[in-house]
Amino acid sequence: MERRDFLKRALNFFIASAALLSSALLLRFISPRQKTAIEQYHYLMQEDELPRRGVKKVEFTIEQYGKKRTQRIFISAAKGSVTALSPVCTHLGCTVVWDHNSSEFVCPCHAGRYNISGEVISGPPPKPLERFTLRVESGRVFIGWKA
Amino acid sequence: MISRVIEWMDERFGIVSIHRRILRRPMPEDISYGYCLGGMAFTFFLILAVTGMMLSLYYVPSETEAYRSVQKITEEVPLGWLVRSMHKWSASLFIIFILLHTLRVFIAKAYRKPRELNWMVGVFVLVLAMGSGFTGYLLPWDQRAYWATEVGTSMAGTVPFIGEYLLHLVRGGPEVNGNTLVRFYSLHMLYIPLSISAGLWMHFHMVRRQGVSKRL
Amino acid sequence: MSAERKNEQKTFYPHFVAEIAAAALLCLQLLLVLALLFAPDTGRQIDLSRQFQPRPEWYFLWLFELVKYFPGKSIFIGTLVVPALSVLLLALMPFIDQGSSGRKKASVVFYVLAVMPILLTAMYLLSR
Repeated sequence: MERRDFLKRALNFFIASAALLSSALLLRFISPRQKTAIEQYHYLMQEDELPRRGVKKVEFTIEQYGKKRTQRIFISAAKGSVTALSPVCTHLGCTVVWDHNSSEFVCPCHAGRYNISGEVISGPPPKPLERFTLRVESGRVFIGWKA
Repeated sequence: MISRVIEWMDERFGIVSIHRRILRRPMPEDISYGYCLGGMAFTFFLILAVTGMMLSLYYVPSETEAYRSVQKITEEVPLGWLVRSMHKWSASLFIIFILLHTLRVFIAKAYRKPRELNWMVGVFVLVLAMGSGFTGYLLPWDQRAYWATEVGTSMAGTVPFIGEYLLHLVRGGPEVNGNTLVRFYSLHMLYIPLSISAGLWMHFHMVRRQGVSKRL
Repeated sequence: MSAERKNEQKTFYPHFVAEIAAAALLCLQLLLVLALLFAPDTGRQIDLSRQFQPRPEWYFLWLFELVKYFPGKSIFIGTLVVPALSVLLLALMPFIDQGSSGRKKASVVFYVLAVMPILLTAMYLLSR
């Protein structure tokens, strides 16, 4: 091999590997660090305020990175069990509303419908509404919130 | 006087003499006004660049300040409302004229050899323009902006296998928050405009090389 | 003008540039009319606990409507496959138009790509 050809090849190899390496670094750089969500319990309401039947909108405040944020969830009571449901539609993240007349959760974005337990009745949502754990301690209700 | 200054500068800089042939190149006699559509789209791109640079003097891309700064631009900055309005409307008109231009080029069959690559560059610019519209929509940081981005970025999360990763990538985390705002601001102000400029430079360069396609 | 001047070959500068400048001025006027008449307002402050009906820019309405029709696990067809395929087909138009019936094929693809978003946007607007 001539010196000239060798130089060319070496240069091409160098440029290609530099490009590859920097792309890998760039990809790592732009990918946000995955944080493991920690479940924390927040005070929600008194036990006797829980609905016996039907759906109740409840707001509570969480503090994250020093910022306070109001979060809304649904407490739904049906067939003797009480569940805390997320208002976030599992389709594309819009907020669902409780429709009293049809007793369904309805998503205004793409007409997804869920029943009182948060299971999908019709429309595009792929999963039921997310459930949160509720814990009752001496008459006070706490909600497990992952953040 | 001015022409002598220009001449003096060009003697050292040489930019006019290099481009003289481009500027003096002959044009076909029978081109219609349909050929203006691309140029009009470019006009809106220039207006977007100018009004965008003006808005950037007041806009603050932060979770706590963004909303207030847009409010300030709209209500307090002299003529701020007009600059913002022009920026918003040129964005729509930019897209409209790109679409009309695409239609015109398709009807004229001007995507055929040797202009295949130029057509593809044009499609690239259209996609970037829509991306710019999407990222710019978040910047006012109000309810409308937040929820449109919530839905739009959720779509990235539906991609099989890498959806979760893509979602985190575009949002800069698991949810739409200040990180997303900064990411979109950066894309909207830097990455996309630079890419569109590069695309348009290629577009115009090829138009010049290949000439305007003759009418049917 | 002399006859000599009339026969002069039109060049990019100044003939074409003059026409571009006229068109650009027209653009600016159109823009000013729209911008002055319909100035955007400041929206409501972000409130995660309040219900809000999102609405994308007009050129994304078709996509917003499209995802309605791919329920459950098939959602990626609406969010990824159809949009990506549309862009790909549009970009590859010069290569679809090959051979004797190429233009026909290209026309069919192009007008499907043009009509689909218009139809979906109309469906979105009608369903409101």
